[in-house]
Amino acid sequence: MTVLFRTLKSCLALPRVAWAFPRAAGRALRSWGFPEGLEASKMELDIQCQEFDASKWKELVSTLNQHKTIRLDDCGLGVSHCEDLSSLLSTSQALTELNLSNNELGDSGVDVLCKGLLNPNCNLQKLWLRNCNLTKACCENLRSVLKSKSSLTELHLGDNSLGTLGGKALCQGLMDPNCQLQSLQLQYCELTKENIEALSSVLLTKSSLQTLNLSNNKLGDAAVKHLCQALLDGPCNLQSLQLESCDITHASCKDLSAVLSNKPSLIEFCIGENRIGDAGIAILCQGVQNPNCKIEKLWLWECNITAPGCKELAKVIGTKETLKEISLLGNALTDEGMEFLCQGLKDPKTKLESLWLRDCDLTAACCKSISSALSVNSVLKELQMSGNCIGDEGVIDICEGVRSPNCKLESLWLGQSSLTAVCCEALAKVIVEKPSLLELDVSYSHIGDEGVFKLCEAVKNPNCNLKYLILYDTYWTSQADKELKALEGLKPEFQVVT
Amino acid sequence: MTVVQWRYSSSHFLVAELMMLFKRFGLGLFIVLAAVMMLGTFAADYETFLRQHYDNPKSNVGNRYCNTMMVRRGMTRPKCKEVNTFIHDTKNEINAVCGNKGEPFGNGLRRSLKQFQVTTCTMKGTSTRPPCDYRGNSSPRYIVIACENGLPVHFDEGQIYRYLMMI
Repeated sequence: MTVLFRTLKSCLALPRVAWAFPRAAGRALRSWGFPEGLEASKMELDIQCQEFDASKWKELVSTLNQHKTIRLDDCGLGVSHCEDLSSLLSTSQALTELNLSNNELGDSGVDVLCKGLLNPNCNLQKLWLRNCNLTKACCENLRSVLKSKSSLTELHLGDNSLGTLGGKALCQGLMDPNCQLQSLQLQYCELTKENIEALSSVLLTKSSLQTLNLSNNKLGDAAVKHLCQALLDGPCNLQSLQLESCDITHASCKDLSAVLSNKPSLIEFCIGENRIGDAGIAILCQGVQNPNCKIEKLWLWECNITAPGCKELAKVIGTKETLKEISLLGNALTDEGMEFLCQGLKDPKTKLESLWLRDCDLTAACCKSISSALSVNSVLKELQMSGNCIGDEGVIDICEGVRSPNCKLESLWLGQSSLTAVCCEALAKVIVEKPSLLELDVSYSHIGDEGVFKLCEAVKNPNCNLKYLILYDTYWTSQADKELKALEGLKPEFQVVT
Repeated sequence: MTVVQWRYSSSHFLVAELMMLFKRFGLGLFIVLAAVMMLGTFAADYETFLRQHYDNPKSNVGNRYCNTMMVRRGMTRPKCKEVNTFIHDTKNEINAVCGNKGEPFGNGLRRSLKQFQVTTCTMKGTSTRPPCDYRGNSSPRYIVIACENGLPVHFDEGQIYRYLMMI
């Protein structure tokens, strides 16, 4: 239901820019209808990218107390709005989620909010303050909130320059026995290795934390080792660990591998944008292969992985039955590496559902292997191949595999692959013959009117279940445009995304 | 759940308006207005081009320009757009690439004679389901576009991308 609500837009407000939302929002509203029967306690408000003048804001504030969740994302809010929201927090016991991300609240705005948060009436569980122009100055008050508000389970503070001192203040709050925080998001907070010591103490004493996001802070190997040790020694049952772009090298991999093999609670592990390399990946794969490891999602994008690393990853893909999603985006895997991965995909034990391979230096040469892997694999649902120069020839090969009765692919991304109208006949066949296919991306291609006509013809076929045909920055003339627009009337569930 | 529809369809309103004008002022004005409306539909692609690719002067939206702008310009729903370029120059200068400030570039495309200041937003390692996380790259680039009726209607990211790869 949340997903549905997120697609709906509230509009008591002035649009921030005339083109803030695609028409899809309106369409979703019409086709799904208005959930009028909902009780007040279940009500959600979701507004994004709209500004309020004084009277519209007043009007909105008068309705806020009926909502359980409120999202006012990028709405030009400041300190004065925080006064109203603070009173709301101290009076509305129903409110459990408040998302004020991307508003310039500043430290003074958050200080005002904290007054409401500290009120015993406030039962807030989830608070988003991402990118709100905060510094260490507001962390003292947030520390008090963490210490006294045991209802609070999620705190999102990413994209604020909290720095070492801000991070330390928060950790003091986390240490309090009252604090029951489960999810802490601190990406892009200018944290340093000095913060890890305090955070490690938290992990050694508290068991509530399930999600920890420290991505895009310059932590370095020594700090990451320290963190891993605390995770191993403490009672914490972390489910999601995000350490993307944290200056990690292969030197940390032994410790990270130990966490993987000793923490069966861990299901999501994201270390993209770190220079781990093939040697590091081999060590991590050993941890993953441990029967104790129950990992479901491995995010290894831009980790300097090449073909030798793929050999290790192929074993993981083929045999790790908990593994559902893997991102290898932005690694120069090359065709040689892809050959290894295909071996993993062919393994009857593989349970991999999503494979992200955008910008992996692949060419048409590996597409026959991908095709033969797809023809024996019945579990893969999502294959993202964008940004590889596989060309029409490569796509035609891949389509051959997708058309095999075994293949149950739902989502195929082929943007930025140097495509022309030549491959559209093969794509059209897939659209018609593969009822499982829900998303097809051919963005940034030169399929032209000819290609568009072929795809349109296929979508018209009653066997086609396609929901999204994604064609960002792809050029066709107004003639082909008419055909595309006509499709949307023909199939209400279908949408061309441009 | 408080939901008020974002944008009401104006087409019914326009048709009614036109019928009224037709009654009042006769066929002449009706034809003129119908022509304006037709041009309006052609211009829809130009509107899309501006929404997705024009940002001048570059919006001051803090340190996460791409994340903010991609959402504000409606390019993250229902699927994150993987690559998008914003041009920081006047509409006149961009439109002129369709005329004497651009040259044919094959496939019905035109390349600018001068370099434009652009920001290219590329998705990071997230999946294509929102929320979408981007990184930005600002630099001067020749732009490759397609034009209709003298106005840009398509930005060729593929070309920008190839240049980035070459450098």
